[in-house]
Amino acid sequence: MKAISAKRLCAALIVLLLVAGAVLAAVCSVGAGDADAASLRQGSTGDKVSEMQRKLKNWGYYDGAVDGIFGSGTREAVIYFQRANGLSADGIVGSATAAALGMSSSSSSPGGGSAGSSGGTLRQGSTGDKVSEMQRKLKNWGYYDGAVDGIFGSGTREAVIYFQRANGLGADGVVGSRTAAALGMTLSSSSSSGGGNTSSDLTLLARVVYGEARGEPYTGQVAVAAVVLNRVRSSGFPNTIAGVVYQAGAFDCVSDGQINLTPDDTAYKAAQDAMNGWDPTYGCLFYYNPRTATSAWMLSRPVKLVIGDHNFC
Amino acid sequence: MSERKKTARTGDCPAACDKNESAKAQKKTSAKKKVRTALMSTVIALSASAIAGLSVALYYSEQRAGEQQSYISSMEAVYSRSYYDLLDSANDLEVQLMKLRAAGTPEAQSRILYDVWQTATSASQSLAAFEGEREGVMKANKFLGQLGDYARVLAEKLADGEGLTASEAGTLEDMRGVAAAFKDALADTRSGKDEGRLFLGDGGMLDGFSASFDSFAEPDFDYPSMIYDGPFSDALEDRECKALRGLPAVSAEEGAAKLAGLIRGAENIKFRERTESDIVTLSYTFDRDGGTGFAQLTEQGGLLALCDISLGETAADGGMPEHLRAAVGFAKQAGYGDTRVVWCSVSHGTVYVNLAPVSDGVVLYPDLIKVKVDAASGEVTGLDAAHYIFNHTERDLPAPVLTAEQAAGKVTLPAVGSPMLCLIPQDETREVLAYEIECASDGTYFVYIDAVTGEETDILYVVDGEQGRVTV
Repeated sequence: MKAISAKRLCAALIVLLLVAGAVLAAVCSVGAGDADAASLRQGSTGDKVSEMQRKLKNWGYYDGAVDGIFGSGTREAVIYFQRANGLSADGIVGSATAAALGMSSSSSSPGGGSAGSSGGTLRQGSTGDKVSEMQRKLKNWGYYDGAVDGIFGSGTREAVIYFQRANGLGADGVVGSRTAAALGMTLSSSSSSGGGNTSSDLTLLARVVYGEARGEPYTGQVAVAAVVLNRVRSSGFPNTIAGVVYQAGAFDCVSDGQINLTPDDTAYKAAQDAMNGWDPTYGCLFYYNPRTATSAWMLSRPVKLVIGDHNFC
Repeated sequence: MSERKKTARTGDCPAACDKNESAKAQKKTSAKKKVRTALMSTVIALSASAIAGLSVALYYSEQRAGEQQSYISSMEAVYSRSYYDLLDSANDLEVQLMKLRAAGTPEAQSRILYDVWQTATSASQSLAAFEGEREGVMKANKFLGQLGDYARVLAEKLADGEGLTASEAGTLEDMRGVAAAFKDALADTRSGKDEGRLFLGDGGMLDGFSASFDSFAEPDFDYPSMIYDGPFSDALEDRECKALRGLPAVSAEEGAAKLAGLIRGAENIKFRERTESDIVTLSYTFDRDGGTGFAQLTEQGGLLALCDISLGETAADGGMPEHLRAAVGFAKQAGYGDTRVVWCSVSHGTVYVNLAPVSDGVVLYPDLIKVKVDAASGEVTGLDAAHYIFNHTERDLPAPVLTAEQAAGKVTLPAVGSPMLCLIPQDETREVLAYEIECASDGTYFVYIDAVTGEETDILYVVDGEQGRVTV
């Protein structure tokens, strides 16, 4: 009888331990879910932080910049939001706070994360294909005579400094964004999310150039794109490229549908030049074709520049 | 003989002949009936087809008309929504500017001014839905842009612990008067809306709405001059070309000779015109290596302000170092002295190289010179020096209070390389001595720490896109 009881007791203990282990594992996994990379906290960066900042700003909890950086101001705003909404006010956007903000809490990027800390830089000690690519370029151009082995050692560092000095760059032996660009390489594949907008802007600008000024001299096409960008910067017009382009009555190519034609390479290059700062008009906000223009006010404006068929003013 | 035969034949079978005649007549009648039936059927079929066709045409016509009406109604809704939003904003602006009079603390003033900024921005977006190339509308939009910009600058100033000056308070009071005029300009349209009038269609109010802002374009319209540290400041409208101070004017012939020395292989250089933009320039066109070129020299000093060269056949080849050296060399040859590469980006076969002069170890970002190099041939294909011409001057730079290490310590993200001392443009009219610190964390950032106050003054984020690598 005693033996049977002991067996039962052992079995009960084993079952108890298994249950406790399972519960403990579940608790740990939940805890990890709050504290792992899925949460946003001070030091996090990226699109998710921007999304959160935008929401907090729209709802009046945050008055700082929407810059994708979770700094102390953002933390205070999160705490303010959490207090106001009955959440645990710890300044960390875990699953509960993310849900209250109406966003999913995945894809965060804590600032101190190991993936991000070296993802955009090559320095002594770095290894890999990017180092090989850099060594190959330095070797081809005569800055490096060591082995292309993918290891960033002291010889590679000296070659980088030599390259930086020879090309007017800051000579610190670290291959950051600027040196990488001068080497004709890209170090990371990140930050593509923001590119969509700027690429859209370039395409839209190229469409305006093609619709309004194809057949004009190249500089005249750059000038048309520059006028659009000057308007974006002017107080008298909307402050986005799309806002300026689609403002009622602003551009004939929008009215007659020619903005929907596919731009050629020249239009893209002209738009590209303007976006890089080329402005043959030095700040003009208007242009017109004197043979077809009918607006008395436009015709009365002093002409600052004539390129091809367009007067710029 | 034949007559007799005929008579005999007919006289031979009178009954049969009658039958035949009758059958023939019946056949004839039947054929006629058939023809008539066929005709009737055809007519009926054609009529039915025509009716069906007309019905289908009518149906589609109705549908098109319905669609068109739907589009017009949608546009009417867009205009109406924009108008009512604008009206709300105009009311809010006037009230907010009135409240400023009563606000006694910097905190309250700052809060209201931030509201003014947001409301003015919202109003500007609503106004953009309407005709934009009418002078009055542009002036009204300028008012909204400047008011919002000015309010933001003052709000930030108050947040920094500074108070409003009497002049600033006076300008805000003047702006309140303009805000009232802005609201009044919306009154006629409001009456029309109350009477059920539409923006579109016969007797629509769209043109009248735009015309209601014409008073803003009147020469005697009482609008304050807005000089402040913001991007829409009136101070920017008459910018001085600081780099050209004291330089002698060059003639068109002297300019052409200078261009010939500067652009290798330039032929058939033709003077086109003298242009009076913000920079007074002499424009030229030329041919080179089967391609063409356009260049502008400043009339004062004969500096190459802008050029664009389209290439003909090219044979040379080179890598990035050659491209950068070509850019730096071309800028030096054009008279811009020693410069440093601060950014380069490759897009659509062109290398865009940004160069900045360096003064006592400080990189001068406001004086940027941009050079284009053809990525395939390494030939320089363009230059733009407007920033240099507007901004370059002898400066009394303050001594940095912070060390580079102290500045780096203020950045939360992992830094790349060493901080770089530089002068950066701030709010279009100010320049700040700062440390530039490149950081990498899921992307590349440039963080700027004020070298005197230690404040974080700007953050740029590097975006890779179709247009190369850009900072935003």
